[in-house]
Amino acid sequence: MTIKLENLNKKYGKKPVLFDINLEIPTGSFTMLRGVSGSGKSTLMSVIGGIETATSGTVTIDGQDVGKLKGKARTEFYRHKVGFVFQGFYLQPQLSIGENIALMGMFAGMAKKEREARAKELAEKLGIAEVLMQKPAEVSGGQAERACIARAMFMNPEIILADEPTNNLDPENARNVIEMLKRIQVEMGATMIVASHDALVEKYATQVVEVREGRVGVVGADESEKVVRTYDGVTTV
Amino acid sequence: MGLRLSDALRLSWANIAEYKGRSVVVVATVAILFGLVMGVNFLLRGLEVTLFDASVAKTGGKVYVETSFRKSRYGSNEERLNERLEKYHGEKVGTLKKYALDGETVGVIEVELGKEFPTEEEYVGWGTEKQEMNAAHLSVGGGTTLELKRASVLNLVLGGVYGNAIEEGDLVVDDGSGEIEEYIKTRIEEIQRKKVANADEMLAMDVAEEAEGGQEFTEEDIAYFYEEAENWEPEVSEESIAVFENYWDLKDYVLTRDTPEAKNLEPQAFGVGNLFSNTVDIINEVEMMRTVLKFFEVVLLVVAVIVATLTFAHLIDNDAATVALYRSMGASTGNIYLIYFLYLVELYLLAVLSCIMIAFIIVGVMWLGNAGALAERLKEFYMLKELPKVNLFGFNNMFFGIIGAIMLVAPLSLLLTMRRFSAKHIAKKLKEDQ
Repeated sequence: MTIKLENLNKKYGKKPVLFDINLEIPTGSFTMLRGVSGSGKSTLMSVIGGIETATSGTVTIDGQDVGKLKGKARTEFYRHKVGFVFQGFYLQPQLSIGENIALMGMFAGMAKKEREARAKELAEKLGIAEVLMQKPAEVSGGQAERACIARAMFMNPEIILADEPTNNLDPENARNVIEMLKRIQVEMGATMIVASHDALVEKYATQVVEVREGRVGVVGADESEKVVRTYDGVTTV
Repeated sequence: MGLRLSDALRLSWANIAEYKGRSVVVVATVAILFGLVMGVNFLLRGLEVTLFDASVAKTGGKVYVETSFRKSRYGSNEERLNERLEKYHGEKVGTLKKYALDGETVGVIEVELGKEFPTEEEYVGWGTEKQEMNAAHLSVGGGTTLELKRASVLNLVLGGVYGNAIEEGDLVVDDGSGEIEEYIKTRIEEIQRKKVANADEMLAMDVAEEAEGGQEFTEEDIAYFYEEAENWEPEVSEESIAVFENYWDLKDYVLTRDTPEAKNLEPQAFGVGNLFSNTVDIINEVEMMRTVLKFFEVVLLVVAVIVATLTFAHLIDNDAATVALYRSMGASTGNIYLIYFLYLVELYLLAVLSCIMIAFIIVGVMWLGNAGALAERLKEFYMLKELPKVNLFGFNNMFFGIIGAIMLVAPLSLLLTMRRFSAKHIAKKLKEDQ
């Protein structure tokens, strides 16, 4: 599930926020988008994840130019290909943890029993089965984050995008969540993209992409081959 | 298969729980405003029936009216009138000739052969005695304002209904003996003599007035003046008298504008007036109040749509993250519209229920506080032997109209705020929130 961004630009009105992004994310990789707040990481995640559309340029996922997909075809594509873990949880406060996990199943028209079974399966895998009936306000930050991850995994996506998954967590919970994401990436073979400025994430990444003022540079994190691409060229280290 | 309706309902209900405060405000505002209208409508309908019943109690439930077509271009007045009466189940029972006898109006009723007619009762108002008339004499008096003994909102209605004057004068039924013709003839002669006696004085005044204007009275003018006085004749108008077995048929007869005459395309082409009671006035006044109520309903609808739209727009902006989440979870635009539309429908269903409750409370309070007093005043006004039955709750199609108006707010608010669900707007709000 290779993701390729070519000459990608994004503007909000007249204000550009992403400049000429060229990036390849290999299948099955754990890619970290590293950058400070306001660097454009979340916007880049949103464009890759289909929540927003690029102003120009292309996003190709597994050979499919997603910009050409419209309406139902686009919805179906993203539903089955991409899972999103939002910054700040975004769990619906009036739905139970179980219902939140199964949200994607609701929009896919899955029967209630089927959804509940799948939610329970994921909750058990992520160690939050005991809080399925509780509301988000009644669970801890770590449990809420795992619920978000379970929600992202609901349709067995091939790509999982996690935006600042450790932001509101203490160090122990943060490590648990990152390890969980790494495990998912390894076991499921999913392509994992994590936007974060947490140094802990870098340790687990196979590729680090530096995002600065809307531009990207790739910093290889694999010990056997480190490639640093700066903004004005390629330098191999 | 996409989002199921049961799941959409679940998600929409979650919105109501999430925005409890705002939901309560919207429901309460709409319920109070429309509840007032609905309550007044219930009251008006109940009062209408109560007043009708009281107004026809002395004529055994039947309503007698005077009615006519004048200057019809579409056929003979008589034929056109009979057609209309037949259409609305009325029956002509006689004729009413009104003689304007120099400050006094006498109505002479000729009853058609074989028709029933009330003759011996005293009717609305207060009557006068005419000892010299041996024909059946019916007392009809002027209008008066009916007010409840203690201050009541119902006086707003009753003041309009009972503030109109019922034609004053005497009504007599011609019994065919010739006495009433004799009476009329005698009165005319009296008036002629009086006019002749006053002629000199009146002529002097007229001459002086004309002289001021530079005009002169000729001998011919003077002769004509005396001749006019000697040969004075009263103005006589003629109406048909019709009876309706129930006031609903009469109401349709009075209010339905289905012919050119009834539409009054010719001014005053169609006339219908009270006889023995003020039933026609009740019909017209209640209809006017109902029109005012409908006007308020429309105004309230506009206000409700504005309030709802602004509140809903604010809610969507606050809910940008949720909309973005739903989109990322595979929700289509149609799914999102459905969830928020159902939220609005649920909200306004709650408003409808609350509105009905408020309306019942209004009726209950008015009933407890006024029914007894109203019964006493109606008995006094209509000179009834017993207290009439008072019912301050009535039901009509306007009830459904009000509910329809409330529910209409939901789709209108959604239509007016659809732009806010666009990906561009949502992204902008998310950016602002960050």
